[in-house]
Amino acid sequence: MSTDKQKEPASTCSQCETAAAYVRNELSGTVADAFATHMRKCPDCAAVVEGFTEVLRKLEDRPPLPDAPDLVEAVLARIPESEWEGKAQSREARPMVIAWPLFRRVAALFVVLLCGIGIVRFLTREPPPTPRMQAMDEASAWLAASQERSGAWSPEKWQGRSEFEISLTGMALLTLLGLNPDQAETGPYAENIERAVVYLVAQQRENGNFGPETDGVMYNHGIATVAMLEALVATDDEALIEPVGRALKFIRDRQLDSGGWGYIRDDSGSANTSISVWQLQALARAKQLGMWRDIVPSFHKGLLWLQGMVGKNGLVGYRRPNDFPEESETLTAMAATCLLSAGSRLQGLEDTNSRVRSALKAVASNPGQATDFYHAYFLASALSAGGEEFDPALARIQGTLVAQRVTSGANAGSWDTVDNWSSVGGRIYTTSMAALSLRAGP
Amino acid sequence: MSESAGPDYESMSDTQLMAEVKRGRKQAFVTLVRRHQSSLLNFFRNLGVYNDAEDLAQDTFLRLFKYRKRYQPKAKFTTFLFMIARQVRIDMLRKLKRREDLSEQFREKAEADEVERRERREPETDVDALLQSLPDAMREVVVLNIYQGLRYKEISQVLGVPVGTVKSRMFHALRNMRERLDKK
Repeated sequence: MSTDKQKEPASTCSQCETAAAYVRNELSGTVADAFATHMRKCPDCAAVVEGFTEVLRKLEDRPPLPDAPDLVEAVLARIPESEWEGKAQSREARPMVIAWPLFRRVAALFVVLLCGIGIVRFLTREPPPTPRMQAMDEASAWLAASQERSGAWSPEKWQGRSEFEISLTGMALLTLLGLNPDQAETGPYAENIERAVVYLVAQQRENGNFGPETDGVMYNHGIATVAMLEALVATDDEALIEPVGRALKFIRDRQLDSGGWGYIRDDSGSANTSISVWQLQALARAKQLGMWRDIVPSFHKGLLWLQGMVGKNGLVGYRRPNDFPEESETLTAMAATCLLSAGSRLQGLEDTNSRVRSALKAVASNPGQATDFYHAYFLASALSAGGEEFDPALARIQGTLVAQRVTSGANAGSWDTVDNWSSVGGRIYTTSMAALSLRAGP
Repeated sequence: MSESAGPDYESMSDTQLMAEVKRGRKQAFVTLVRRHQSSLLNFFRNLGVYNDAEDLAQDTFLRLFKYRKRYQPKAKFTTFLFMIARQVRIDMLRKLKRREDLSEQFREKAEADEVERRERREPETDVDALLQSLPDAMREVVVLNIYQGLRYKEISQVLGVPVGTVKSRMFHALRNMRERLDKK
């Protein structure tokens, strides 16, 4: 069937084929602008775009199809109960159904195997690695190679500050888990993941805190807890439930009356968005897992506090609305990650989210010139939580990050320490944040 | 605000739900089915499958379950789901074709008519007519892009063709439909 080689219309310019991608918003900003400019001078293309727009309007305005029936019961009826958790049946107990002569069974098995291999190959065929996937793979390899024997990642070796060893180890662990899903137990980085988890558990204090009580303890603790929660999910290791539970208790214990979290040696006792968001991310993931019911009130209280930081214009302040000691974009992206993921089921969140969403659109459309990996990570997470309308903006950020990575030499696969926070987190931070940004979204 | 008694599957992403399904969590699978059943049924209906749409959607979910352990969330979940759905439909068409061939071979006109009736029927709306006027390869691209909301890149993964081919098919599909509207 020659569907791709239809006869061309009589008088169209060579650029008319771009019209379909243009009306479907499939062109990058620059190409779309160039085509729009061309269209103003080319009546052929303008007419094609007009015609396509009318077709699309007709297709999109079609009456809705009949409501879908619920298929759950019918689908479940076709799956043996033994396939579900806790219903496993021993191999010996299964009845032998086939009672054909041996040669027929062997022949049938052979045919089934051939078909099975074909189907599995078809369904699991992977598209060729894109630059983004390649960058993620190389980042995993670099992080794995830079891990210490102890399981930690050393800040000093990579231009970071020693007091953030816990958070950097948490970030690197989170990255290996995020970039290599379903491979925590058997994949190429399973051992790295295990060593990092063992290291973090060994650093945990009686009160649940990961590491010493430095000024930045809540950063260290929040990031490490998020990473440990993901490790628990990825490995299903029941031994992690207790330390993670204690870590969550520490977050609850350190929650301020206002509902947020702040520096522990801050006499003002005020919470700030930057520290609070990491704790909320941990509580949100824990709530999803449904294993610790006592964190739910704390999570809701924290979300309410965060809602209170959102200004009328949707931008999110540091200690109160419109409080921007440095800038508003990263704080807004951080808060949006939590608020948009929480959905609109919580009371009052719908209105807040609509303001945050507007602000996020503005932040996404003006990415700025300076590299900031922390900003990129939270913006990518927020855009991903914001839904498909943000996919193009997310793709732009990821494209920039892919272009910025180191592609040769000893540090190939990592990102250079070129942003404001590099003096704190060093190369482990830049690489983890950039790689996790690439993981976000579709 | 109510407290949850177990995992809050509703708030999990598709990728997270698949990870739970791999661990044998039935409720996670139920959540996935409910989340995507409507979209999947409409996918088949928009491609012109009417009477068998529910069967095909069920088969798709069964294959999704069967291949759950092989799912690698490097691509979007819906891309994986529609890749399976498309294969389920291709298998059905092959089966119908075989029956059609057999019917012709044995000159069983009644059965051939049944095949005809099941897969092809009179379009109910102008839009149905427009879609059905397209060759199958173009119709797939239009349905995946316009009704299922997949981007060109994702469609290229579902169909296993380069993005350029998706672009070209979409262009020719829109042009065919435009010409058809002009003739009215």
